[in-house]
Amino acid sequence: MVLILVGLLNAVGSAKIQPTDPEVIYMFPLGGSPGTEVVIEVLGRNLEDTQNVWVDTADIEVSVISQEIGMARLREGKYYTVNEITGQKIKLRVQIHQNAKVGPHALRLISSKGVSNALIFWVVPVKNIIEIQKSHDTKEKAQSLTVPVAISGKIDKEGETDYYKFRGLENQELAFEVVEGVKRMLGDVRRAPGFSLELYGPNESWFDHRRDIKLGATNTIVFHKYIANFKPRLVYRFKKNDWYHLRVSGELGASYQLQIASPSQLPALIRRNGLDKLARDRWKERDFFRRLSVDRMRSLQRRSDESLERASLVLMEEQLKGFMDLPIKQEEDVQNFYEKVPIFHEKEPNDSPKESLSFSIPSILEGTIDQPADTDFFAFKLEDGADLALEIETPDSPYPFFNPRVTVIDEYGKKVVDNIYKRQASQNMWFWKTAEAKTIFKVKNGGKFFLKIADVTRRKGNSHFKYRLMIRPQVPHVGEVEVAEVLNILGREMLDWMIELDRVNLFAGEIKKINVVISREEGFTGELAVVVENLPTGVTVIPGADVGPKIDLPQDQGEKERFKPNDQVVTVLLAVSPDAPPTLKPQFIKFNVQPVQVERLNRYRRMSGEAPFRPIWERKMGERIFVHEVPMMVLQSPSSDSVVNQVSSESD
Amino acid sequence: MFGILTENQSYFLKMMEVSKIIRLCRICLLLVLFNIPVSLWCKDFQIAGLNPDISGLMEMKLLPNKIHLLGKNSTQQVLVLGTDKEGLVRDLTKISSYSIIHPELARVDLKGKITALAGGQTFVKAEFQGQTITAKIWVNNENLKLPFDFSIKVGRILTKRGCNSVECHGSVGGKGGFKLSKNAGSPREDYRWITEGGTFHVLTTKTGKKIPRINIEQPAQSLLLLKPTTSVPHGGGERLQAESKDYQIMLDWIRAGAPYVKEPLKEVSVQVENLVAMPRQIVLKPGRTQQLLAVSYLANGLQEDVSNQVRYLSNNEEIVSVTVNGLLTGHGVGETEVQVLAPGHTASVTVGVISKAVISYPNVARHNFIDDYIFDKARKFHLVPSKLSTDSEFLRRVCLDLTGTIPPVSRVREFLDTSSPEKRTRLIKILLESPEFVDHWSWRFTDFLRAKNPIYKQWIHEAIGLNKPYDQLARERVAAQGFDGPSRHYEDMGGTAVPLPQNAMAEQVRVFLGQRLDCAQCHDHPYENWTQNQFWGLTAFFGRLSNLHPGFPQVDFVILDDPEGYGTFGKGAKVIHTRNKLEVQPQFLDGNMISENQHDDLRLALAEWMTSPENPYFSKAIVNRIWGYFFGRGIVDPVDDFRSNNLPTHPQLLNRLAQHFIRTGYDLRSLIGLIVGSRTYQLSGNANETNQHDQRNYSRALPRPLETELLLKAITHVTQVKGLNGNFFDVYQKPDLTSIPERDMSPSLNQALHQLAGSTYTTKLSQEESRMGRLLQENATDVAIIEELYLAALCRFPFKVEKVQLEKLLQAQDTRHKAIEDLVWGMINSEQFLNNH
Repeated sequence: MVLILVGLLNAVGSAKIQPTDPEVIYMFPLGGSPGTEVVIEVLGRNLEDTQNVWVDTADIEVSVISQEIGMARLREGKYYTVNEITGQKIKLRVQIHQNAKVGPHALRLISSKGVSNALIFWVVPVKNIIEIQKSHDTKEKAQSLTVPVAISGKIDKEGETDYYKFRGLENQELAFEVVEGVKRMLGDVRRAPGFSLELYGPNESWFDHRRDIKLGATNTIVFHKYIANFKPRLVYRFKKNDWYHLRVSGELGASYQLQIASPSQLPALIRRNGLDKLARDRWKERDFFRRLSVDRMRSLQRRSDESLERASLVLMEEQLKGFMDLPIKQEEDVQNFYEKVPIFHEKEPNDSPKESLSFSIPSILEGTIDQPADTDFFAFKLEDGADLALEIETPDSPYPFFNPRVTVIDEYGKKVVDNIYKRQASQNMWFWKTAEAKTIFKVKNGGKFFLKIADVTRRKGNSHFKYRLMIRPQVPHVGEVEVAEVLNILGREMLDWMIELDRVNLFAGEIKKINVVISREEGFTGELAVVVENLPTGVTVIPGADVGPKIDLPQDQGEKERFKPNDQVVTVLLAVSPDAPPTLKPQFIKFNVQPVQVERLNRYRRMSGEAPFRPIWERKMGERIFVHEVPMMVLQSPSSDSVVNQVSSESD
Repeated sequence: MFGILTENQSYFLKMMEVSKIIRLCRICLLLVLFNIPVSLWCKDFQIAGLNPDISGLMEMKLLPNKIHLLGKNSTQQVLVLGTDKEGLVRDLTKISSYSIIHPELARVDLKGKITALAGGQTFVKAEFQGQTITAKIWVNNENLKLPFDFSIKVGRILTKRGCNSVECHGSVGGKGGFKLSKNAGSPREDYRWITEGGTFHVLTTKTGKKIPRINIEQPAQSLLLLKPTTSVPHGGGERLQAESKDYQIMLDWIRAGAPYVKEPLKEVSVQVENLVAMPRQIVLKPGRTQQLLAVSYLANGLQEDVSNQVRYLSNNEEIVSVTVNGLLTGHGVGETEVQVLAPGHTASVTVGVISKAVISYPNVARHNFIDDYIFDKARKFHLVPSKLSTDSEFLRRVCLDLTGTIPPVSRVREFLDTSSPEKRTRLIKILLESPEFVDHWSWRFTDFLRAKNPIYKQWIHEAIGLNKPYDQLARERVAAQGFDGPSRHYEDMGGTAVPLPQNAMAEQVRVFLGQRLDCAQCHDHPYENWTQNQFWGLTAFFGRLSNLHPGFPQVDFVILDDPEGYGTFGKGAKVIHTRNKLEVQPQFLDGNMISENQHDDLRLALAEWMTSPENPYFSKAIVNRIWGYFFGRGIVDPVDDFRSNNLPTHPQLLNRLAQHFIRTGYDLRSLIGLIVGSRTYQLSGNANETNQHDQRNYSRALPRPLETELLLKAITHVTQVKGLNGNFFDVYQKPDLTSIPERDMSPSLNQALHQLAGSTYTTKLSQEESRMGRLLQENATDVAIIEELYLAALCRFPFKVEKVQLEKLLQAQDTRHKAIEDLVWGMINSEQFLNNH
């Protein structure tokens, strides 16, 4: 599938069709420190008449200094060759207020063609500098730094390397990281630039006294969307006071920010999730890093239709009294565990069922696979027919380093379920096996059970192999919701290669098709509405109907129901009326899903056979669940005069 | 004397000898008739002039030196060897005289064949030219007789006559519908094939029509007899004469109902534990002969002379030929092995043929035990080791071997100027501790471990940098799980899958044990005694190999052993034997099953077995491989092909190196230091009269072509220009690390063309910032330029004649720059530069 897709994209690329959306390809420098002002240069295409920049915080103010024709380099097309793209070069003045929050911030340029993709501007807690103009491509010419520091650099020539040197102190521990400045969207098949960072220390080589040796266990940073979490940082403790060198190399046309500080100043977890922070309030259902907090049951309930369903049933009971005898859920079913789930910490030794710690449902279990072959056991009891969900969080060590295998076994040692999902994929070409962060299962016969946790390899284990498990009753709810554009290649929509919707720029009279993919979790069957709010004037949402993906070959999907939600795709059309006025600034349209609740029995029809009647209900809307927001602009048609004016920064 | 005879003269003398032997037989008859003492006869015999030119005999030896006879009537031939004044060992068996101390216990004939008469202990004495030698004889008191055993009696007949050789019925599918195991390695299967018949299929045990090779009703009509006697057409020709003793043995066996074993007269273990061929090392001059002996040592401590019941095979008939009765004749100068094949056992002897003996052999200094083994054998084979290498030779060689780097000119000058006798030792220490050593050996290991993934390479780099014990490195790779360097080894199909268990196993065994089991995947190994069952038993350790595959677009997979299997191809954790379709249980190569507590982690159990000090292959495989890097060939060569018919040139050295390696905690750096510290390594590449043909005894340094990466590095070092290499790696076939052997060093036309016009040899040389450009800018004199280039490329000063000629050459050119460019081109294309020597 991937090959076909790439091939088709190449075919499309070769047709020389140029996109019209504003697109920022390159930015330099990539950040600054609080209380400073930075001038940044942005290269991209369709950035004509950029006069304003949207920022995700009021603590950063950006103004346009100048704009001119510029060239940007981008790897795209056949073989991902570097293409020189004629576009615009924009100079921006960025003022970072003293109280600006440290971390990544999103910037979007607003041009006559609309709002651009997001740039990542890093506010760093250390001094921020720019690489020297003079060549520093050898150790001898290395730019001298005083740590801690963040330095922005760029790769202007093929094969260029930048050298930096700094004084390391005995026993000093430093974290080194290279970050990029352009957010890559999920499904963007263009290759992201890659960087590598190498740390060198002094050494007495008989062959070359100037030669340094590479230090650190892992010191390659690769920003490649196909390689997740490839040890993106280097942490090193220096053995002696001396000069040390850093070598940064990357792909032509890329810019980077090299950040050097103590590990506590650059905490890994925050940085790993940094880019996700650009997406507000995103619900994570199946991610080993989502926080399984004590109020998760309450959060789930908020995304559930259970209360609505129950309310509907009460209503139905009242209204249908005398017509039918439906089983009605009793009030005692509503449990009070939603408020706070108890936490149990493992107590070693717990390497066998005999030593296991007992807990009740629901609970959060915390522990560590602190050495190879460590296995932790917990015990619990279940009633007949219990429907359960098992959720796993690995807060300290991500995939692929810690991969917990969580197995539920009965008192006779027989496996009931585990979190390893096995199936065929990609038209039966591959057999895939994944460790899942969530598993749902049903127990037919109650009794005593054990939960067994270990790393899948049984070879790994350390203090970072921390786990948090939540085992709880199933709560039918709305899971992750993705708002996406669909690639349409040669008339065929690639529903499994959707691109997350990042921005919408439309002219009057245009429409845009958007797919909202809703995950129904744990048997959620409620009715849902998709609601789009905060639309610009003249923009309406029209329901759409799609043909759905074409499935070529049936595949063995294993026990999919245990591990995957039921996905439902809703198609909506954003329609701009022909007379809609252009927007002056990006307007963030908000996507929500909204449960639909039974309101009243309107009428019914008697039927023959066993079902005595068919009721027809009228409904009302339940509580909205926010899922996504994107900036939208209605553009002035090309013939109209420019109406782009000053846009103030916006804070959410 | 024979060595200088022409072929016709030699033939003539042989005929004379035959006539003498006839005369000898007549004399013997007379001796027996008139009861004349043998010693007396011998004296007469020598006087009669039958003795070849053996004067000044220095040492005598009698083989076997301990003789344990089964009982009455059992026999043992002895060999009498003597060292002549040239230091060559001569076969004196036929011209020595023999006697038994206690004639009532045994007798010995004129040819040295001992026959037991009664139980007890005695001695056999051999005498030649007044010198005597004895060997003790034990004759079993009980009148033991080996019972009939198909595996031995019939097996020997089939083996000696080559019926079960790989060229005949011992091939994978047999021949003419009749299959035998190679060298009777699986006698039970042979028995079934002979008595029941069968059909061989690679992928199934199903049999078609069965044709027994024996006929119990009419034994003489058995195909087993009719075919080899060509009573019916036989593709293999006549292999057995109807009147022979072997024919009669088989006929009697069939008449007796063709049992597998017959009840013994008295219970005796007939298990053959070992087969020994003697003498183990033989040095001949062309035309000289040496008789071989083959002795089976039985489990009960007794022995059986099987010299006439084995098959002799020369690995190189041009060097030495061997008759069916084991008589060797030297021909061309060189060294080879002669294999001795018996049912289920193989032995070999090493034979060297030399043109001229070295009478006054020099005393060669030794640095460590490596030299003891190398020089002892060289002494035996009359090879005088070359002189110690010059400092220049040594410097370039050791730097390239330890660090892959030619030293800078300043270091060359410094080393050559130093007169300290310890300077070589000091240099070795410096190099072993250099970062260049880590880089170079990381590259070597990346090559042979075929590491493509960057984190895999990084793991190797760290392991070499930390001098991680090799057994630990191997364990980590064989048993790798998770997401780390060694586990990347199990990435297959572009990292999307894990390899098939059989492929994963065969690769690990080849790399770490030096054994090529691949053939045994579909059938028993045609040239070795590895069976298909052994192959699949070992494969079962990899049955759980699996990966966590998060799905596209991610590629960072986690390798694990999943007890539930569901590997790449959905086979589950079971490994199924391709022929019998049964699930195979993990079984080590030595036949042992794993213990109960090892089932949790199969690959770890295998890794521990593989790397155990008791494993006969592991340490030898790596010391042999490391040895190969320094000498251009392994003690077993190819380095990953240990076979019974691919023997080590220096087996004792290989054992000792392996033991040393184990004792030092599998310390690679220490092993490497030991090798480069030996005088053997430090010998000059200049041959002398005795060792000019030596290719396998390390009596001189052989030139070794620089590998692709090293060659480019060396050119870059000389020119001091990085990059501009064009398609150098393509042309010189840089390994893609997908297959083993990892490197193809064969030259090609493309390379020749690249040397003429490729950018590495043209553009790189003409850059202003090059070494040559710098020298020109500095207005260096011609002599200075020539000297620096020689030091940079060859680590030596130019010889006077070279200097004079090159100065003339430079002056004759139109432009100085062009002249120097030409000079560099010539240097980097010279044999001296292209090779490590």
